[in-house]
Amino acid sequence: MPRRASSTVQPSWIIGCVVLLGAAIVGGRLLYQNVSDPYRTLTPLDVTAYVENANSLRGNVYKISVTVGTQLAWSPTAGRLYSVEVEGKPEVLAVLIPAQFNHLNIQKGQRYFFKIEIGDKGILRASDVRKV
Amino acid sequence: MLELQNVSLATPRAADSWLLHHVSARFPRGHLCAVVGPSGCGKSTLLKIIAGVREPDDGTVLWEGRDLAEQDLDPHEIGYVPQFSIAFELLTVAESIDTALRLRVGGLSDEQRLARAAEIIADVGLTEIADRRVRVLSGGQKRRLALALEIVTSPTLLLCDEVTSGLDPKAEDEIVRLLRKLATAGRSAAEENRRQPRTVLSVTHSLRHLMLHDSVAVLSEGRLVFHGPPQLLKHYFHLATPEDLFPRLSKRSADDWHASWKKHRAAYHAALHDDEQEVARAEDDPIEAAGIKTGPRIEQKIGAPVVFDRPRFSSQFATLLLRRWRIFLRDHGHLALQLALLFGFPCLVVIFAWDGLPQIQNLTGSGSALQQLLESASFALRSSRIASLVSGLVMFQVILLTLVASNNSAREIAGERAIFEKEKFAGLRPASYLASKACFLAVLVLAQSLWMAVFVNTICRFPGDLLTQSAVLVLVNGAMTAVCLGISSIVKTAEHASLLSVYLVGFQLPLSGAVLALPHFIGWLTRPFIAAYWGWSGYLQTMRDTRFYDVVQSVSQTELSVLQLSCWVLGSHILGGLLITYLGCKRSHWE
Repeated sequence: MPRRASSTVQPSWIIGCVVLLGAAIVGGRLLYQNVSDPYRTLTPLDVTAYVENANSLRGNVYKISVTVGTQLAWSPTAGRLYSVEVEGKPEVLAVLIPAQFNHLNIQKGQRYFFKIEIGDKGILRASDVRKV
Repeated sequence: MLELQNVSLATPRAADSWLLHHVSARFPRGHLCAVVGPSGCGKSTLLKIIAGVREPDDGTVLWEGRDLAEQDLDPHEIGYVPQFSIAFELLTVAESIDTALRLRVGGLSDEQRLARAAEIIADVGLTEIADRRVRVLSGGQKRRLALALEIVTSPTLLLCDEVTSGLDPKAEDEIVRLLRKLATAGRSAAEENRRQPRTVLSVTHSLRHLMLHDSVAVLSEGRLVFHGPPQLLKHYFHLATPEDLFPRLSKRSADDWHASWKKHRAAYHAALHDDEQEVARAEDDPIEAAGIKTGPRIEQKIGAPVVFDRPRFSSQFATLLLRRWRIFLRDHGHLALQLALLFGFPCLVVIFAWDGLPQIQNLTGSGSALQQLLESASFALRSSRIASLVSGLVMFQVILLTLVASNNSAREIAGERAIFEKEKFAGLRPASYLASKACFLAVLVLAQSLWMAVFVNTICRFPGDLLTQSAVLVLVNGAMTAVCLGISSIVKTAEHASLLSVYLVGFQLPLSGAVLALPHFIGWLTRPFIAAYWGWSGYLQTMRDTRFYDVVQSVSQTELSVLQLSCWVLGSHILGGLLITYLGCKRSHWE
């Protein structure tokens, strides 16, 4: 047992601290990737391709991050149709929010993540909605 | 037998300038030695080297023949009474000794411990004032208590650093006689098993009571210039009285005195005691050797040293936690401050939203373009005001809790560092200490954060899940408390720790980005360390389904993080703070 004056913090503790710090950073990063983007595994919608030929994308599922614009139409059974601005794009799209999301208080200016399916005639239909 | 062989220690700045230079001496068991010398001559340094809290640059310290550099003294073998107070002012004498016993001696039943405490208190003559708080004790009584705290494990080596300084002559006389008694204890059969004759080294400035010591070691500028029975001191230095020693020392250089001592040492010892025979006799029968001239001779052989078990982690933890609560509840000033913060700070928050939060009128999106434009402008103005209010109220709660957190823990370790170092020296585990601090502070954090969340939510009717909001506030308070505890464990003084903690709180608001957006790179760099940002962001996430969240998000130029990530980062702060605290507690802070 060395004398008290020479008993310093053991290297194993320093290594342990570095490992824990690394684990905290990696864990935070993974958490950020998983939670910040709920549709991490989905491909973002190529808005330009969609505008040029919506039918070519029919049946596909994408994600988009949008700012809600004006409510264009509403039906208690079909849901709500909104104009939305896609983040980082100049285009304005129309997205149908089905009736299952009628409980959401969607207002102009709000930001959302949409999981969208491209249906018949290129209609964008939200299959999941998360607030940014 | 304690033996010093050519112990040397250079000054930190110059290798050829010495705090101690080739000090060699032997001190048998049952021996009381006074270490004297002018200020700065290395007396306290010598004791620290023997105790092991400083390492010599050269030389060897042997205890009972073993090199302490290879195998250090066990905590129960050594008692070290430093110059500073080692007892908490708000505890009584009996509580202080009981706590020392609980922290240092394991395996005692309650009855045994109480009996042992009573015996120690009686030994040092404090029975009459056992229920008196340390704060009201006289200087002499405090020194007695300090000695009592050191003999709970019946150490065989007792080092005392200026335990008589600042005392009146009567108190000084009593303390020296007590030291003499401690050195030669173990005379009766009943005492035999527990009380061992000790080697007692007492650093002192006082030269009045040298005759009560078995030997006197005189240091001058780090040199040993005399070590022998006190009767020889006057003869060797040609003194009329011992008080003339220091003026006499100043007449020659320390090197001269040392050379002179080396030259005459053998002759003096041969004439009076014969050094070699003395040493041999001390090894065979140290008690006899100890009674060189003064003090009663002890007709007893030295038995095997008494070995106490070190108390378990849980036992030390429980003792420390109990002591912390006891001190907390007795410190009325601190208690009043904590209560004022607990109840006052939430009141500060609610006065800004006494009537609750205003509602948000949504855009209709109808009418002419001009009407829509005007409506949008009006909405932007209203929502900006509401966003500022909501964001500000959330951040206000968070900032107030970070302030409370710094008050919780900034002085927690730094304020009692000297006592902690002393207790660590005596066998306290840093982990037990940290666990007790963490547990004590966790109660404060929970009370403060939950009350803030419940009170503000109840009065202001904040939307969102109360449980999650409470959890976020607990985490942000806990994070800052842990980080400030870490600061407290690594800085030297309580004032320094408080100042650093206040600076840390002061940086929370500007670096959180909640009021002014930071440049992207700086925000990315600093945000991981700013608990207030994660608390603010996490709390706002509890309002995610409300319009308040939307307006804050639309106004704030700082991105809000998701709740899970906020909790993760705040949890990491807590863990990191506790790790820093542990490392800070492990590190020696004797200097």
